[in-house]
Amino acid sequence: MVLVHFFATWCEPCRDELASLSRLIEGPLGKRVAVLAVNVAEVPLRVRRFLDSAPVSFPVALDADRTVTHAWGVDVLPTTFVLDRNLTTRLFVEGDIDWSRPDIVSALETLGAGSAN
Amino acid sequence: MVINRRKVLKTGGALAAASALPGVAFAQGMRPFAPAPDVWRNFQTVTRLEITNARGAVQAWVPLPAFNAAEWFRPAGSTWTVSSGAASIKRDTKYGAEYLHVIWSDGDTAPAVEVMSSFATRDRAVDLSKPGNAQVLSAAEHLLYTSATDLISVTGIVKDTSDKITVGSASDLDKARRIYEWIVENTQRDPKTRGCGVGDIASMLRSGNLRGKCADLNALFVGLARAADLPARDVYGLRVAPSKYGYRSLGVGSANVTKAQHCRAEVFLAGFGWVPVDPADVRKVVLEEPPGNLALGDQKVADARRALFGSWEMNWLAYNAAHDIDLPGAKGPKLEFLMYPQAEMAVGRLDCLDPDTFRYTINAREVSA
Repeated sequence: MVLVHFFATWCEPCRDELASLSRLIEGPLGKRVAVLAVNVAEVPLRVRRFLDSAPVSFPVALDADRTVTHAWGVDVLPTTFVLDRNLTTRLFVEGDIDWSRPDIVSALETLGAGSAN
Repeated sequence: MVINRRKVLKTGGALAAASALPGVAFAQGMRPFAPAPDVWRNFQTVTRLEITNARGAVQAWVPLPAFNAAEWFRPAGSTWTVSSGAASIKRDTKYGAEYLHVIWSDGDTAPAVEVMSSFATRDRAVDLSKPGNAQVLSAAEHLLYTSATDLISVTGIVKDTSDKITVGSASDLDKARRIYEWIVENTQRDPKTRGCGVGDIASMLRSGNLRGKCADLNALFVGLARAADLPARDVYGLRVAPSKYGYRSLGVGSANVTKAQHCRAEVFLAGFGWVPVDPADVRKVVLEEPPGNLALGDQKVADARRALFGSWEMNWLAYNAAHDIDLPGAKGPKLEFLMYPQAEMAVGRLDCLDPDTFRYTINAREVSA
């Protein structure tokens, strides 16, 4: 599975969720989940400085002019798309979420199992 | 130290030697908010920008108060000093925005620039009960101010929303007022709404997350108006003095105005010309005017709401009305708007909010003519 996660460093709920995503891939599901974070319309140096102070364990792409943000139909930050192994969107989360919640972990496990089949 | 003096006189006669007045005392009491053309006031601002940890080629772009509106804003020139290199005034060809472009010499380990700008302001108010023979917009201007920008869509959900707001309107004035009132009524904090906007008005409307600062809410006004074929524009500027009506939320309390940027809006109405509006400031009064979180029915809010459709108190300078600006020599993306100084080094665009690399202050004072 791939989680494509749109965020901005100035967005308070985004900051909380980045940490939650790091815990997700450092946990039991880590081997089956990849995260790609997409920063929306910020100066690269600001993003780099933010990540220096709050490192994450997944790649961060920069969408400086919101082209990708608009192409994915993102209207709120944070927003996360959960893609299966065929890169089909299976879940869409608008707003922040705690990825360590048991029901969320269970949903991801089910998705992962479904993809495998 | 390189000193380069240039006075760009936009009005006849330079300002006479200025002597600083004591800072305007904060109003002891409030009075009904009702700006109207009165005396001209003269101001100076000093913007000082320093780049710390400079590496390689460094350049900056500093917005200048150059918006020319004979009845309420008269730019009177800028002078500057730079630590090295060269600086020149550049002008955006599409909107006329002016800014100082500074290119420091390689090897300058402490690039700095100080810009002093002078201007005069006068409160403005349009009598919306008496249409007259106001200016007419050219076809090109009409197109410019009804077209979309990167952050301001005029189709899709923006057009649909505008149509719903303005259905049954009796006139363009009626349309504009309905849009203004809709923003005042609907753009309020909802503590149950989590998440942040992505910066453009279509996303705001799709998500229902109608929160934001002046640049968001007044851009929403501009977009909804343009979608109704009403020419409209944001005007980006800076608060420079307290409000003489005693509104703490609508003025500044000290000479340091570094964080007092504020965007307003105008709509063009036949018979009236450009009409000033500011629904974002009405929401600011609601949120911030002591004791805070006022009801829309509070007298202070009602006065501001009535006045900010058709008038502006001019304790504020106007930089420009530009969108989607390509900065000459810049490697970074175009700017959605120019209301803050910008700078780049070889590594890229600097973060204007990062005090470790990008330090600037803006101070304002009222001066006698």
